[in-house]
Amino acid sequence: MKRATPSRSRTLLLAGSLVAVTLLLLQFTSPEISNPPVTGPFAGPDSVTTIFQHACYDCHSNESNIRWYDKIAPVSWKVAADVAEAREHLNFSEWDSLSRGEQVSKLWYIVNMVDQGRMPLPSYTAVHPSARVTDDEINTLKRYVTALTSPPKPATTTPATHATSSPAASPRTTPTSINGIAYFDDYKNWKVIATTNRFDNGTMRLIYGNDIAVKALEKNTINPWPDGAKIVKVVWDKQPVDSLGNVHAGKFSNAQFMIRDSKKFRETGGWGFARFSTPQLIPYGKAITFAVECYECHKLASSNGLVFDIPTKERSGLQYSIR
Amino acid sequence: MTIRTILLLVPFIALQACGSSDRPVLAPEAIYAEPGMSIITTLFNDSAQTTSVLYGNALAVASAQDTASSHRSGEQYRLVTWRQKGNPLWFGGNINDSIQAVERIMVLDDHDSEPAIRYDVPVGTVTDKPGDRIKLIFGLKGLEFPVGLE
Repeated sequence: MKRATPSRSRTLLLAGSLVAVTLLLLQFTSPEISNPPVTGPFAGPDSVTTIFQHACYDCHSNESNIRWYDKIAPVSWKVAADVAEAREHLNFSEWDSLSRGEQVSKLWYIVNMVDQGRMPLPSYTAVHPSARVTDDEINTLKRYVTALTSPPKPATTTPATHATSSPAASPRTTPTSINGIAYFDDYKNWKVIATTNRFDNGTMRLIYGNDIAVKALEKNTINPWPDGAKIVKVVWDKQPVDSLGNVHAGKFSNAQFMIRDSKKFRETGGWGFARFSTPQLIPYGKAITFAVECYECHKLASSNGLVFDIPTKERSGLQYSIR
Repeated sequence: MTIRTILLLVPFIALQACGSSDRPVLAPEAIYAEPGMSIITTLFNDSAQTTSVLYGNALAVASAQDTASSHRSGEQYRLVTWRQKGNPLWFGGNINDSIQAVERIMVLDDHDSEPAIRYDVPVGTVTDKPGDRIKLIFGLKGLEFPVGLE
């Protein structure tokens, strides 16, 4: 066995001491993660609250349970920043500050984040295994959010009355989103690439793609989609189920645009987002940062190049949940 | 191949496997397109696990917007029905799967009080009686779209 020379030993000792002193001094810079008062906590069934508590509350509440090893700098810097950001996005201790609609919408988003394994963060569960969510717990969450969103009651006497087009209103200027995307209706001449219906929010949709988008699907060049691809999702409210079991489209709700321009919209994954609501086509978003919200949610569809609704084949091993 | 080479390849193979399992298997064949046909409306049926889109030529689209129930010679309709599945990327939504059936209607003659109609199913099968299907399709009205832009 080789023995360290005296000079090498001295160097190692000096370096070790330097690291130890530096670490010690860093502890004086360690941020304190405080727990402000709980003002309006989430109040769901115990079975659901328990899951959120062990999987989410350390970051997404004012009841953070910071372990001793999370308090050691420089790790503590990252933990403090993560908790601050997490509380900004969602805080279970201030749940009452959200409207009922926002609460339901957030809950569906949470379930989908957990279902896809994006939350809790894999890097977090690697160090905090107790935060992991089991398949049974995911099913509990799914049952809970599904029960929260009751479908319209079935029509028992007459079939649904079908919607007809609105009478032509007087011409108006083209509605334009704050990020410069203007409404257009050329999409009515495009191909429908998918049709969807949502039992979480009572809507049904047609998804149109322009020629570039359709070709990208045909050639499987959607990661990333080519510049110039355009996708328009038109959303209608659902009507109650008719006597044959059919559900028809009701009132126009909104039209959602995705415009691919990898340079112009680099900060939102190369897609420009816009939404025009009600027949008056009111653009969504008061500040240009609204598109970041869209982008954050669309990250759930990163395997599809950030587009949720495209025609795919069912693969073995994937669990589809049909209601 | 040496043990060392295999060990070096393991992470690469693992990464490839992860990447491919995330990628969707695209099904562009599920996109229906026929020249001259435009969207009339859409509907779905959870009991049957299907979702449908009604297309029509210009005469059919005009008829579907009309409150009158009469039909004119030359109207053509296509009711495309897909199997429905849960959206793999969003629990809370369903999406069309593969095409299950395409039903075709053509109004041949409108001189009599009962127009002459040809109905057939060029793709897939439909178990309901043709008369019931024609009644359903003729009962569907056009979607509401925003209008009135300059």
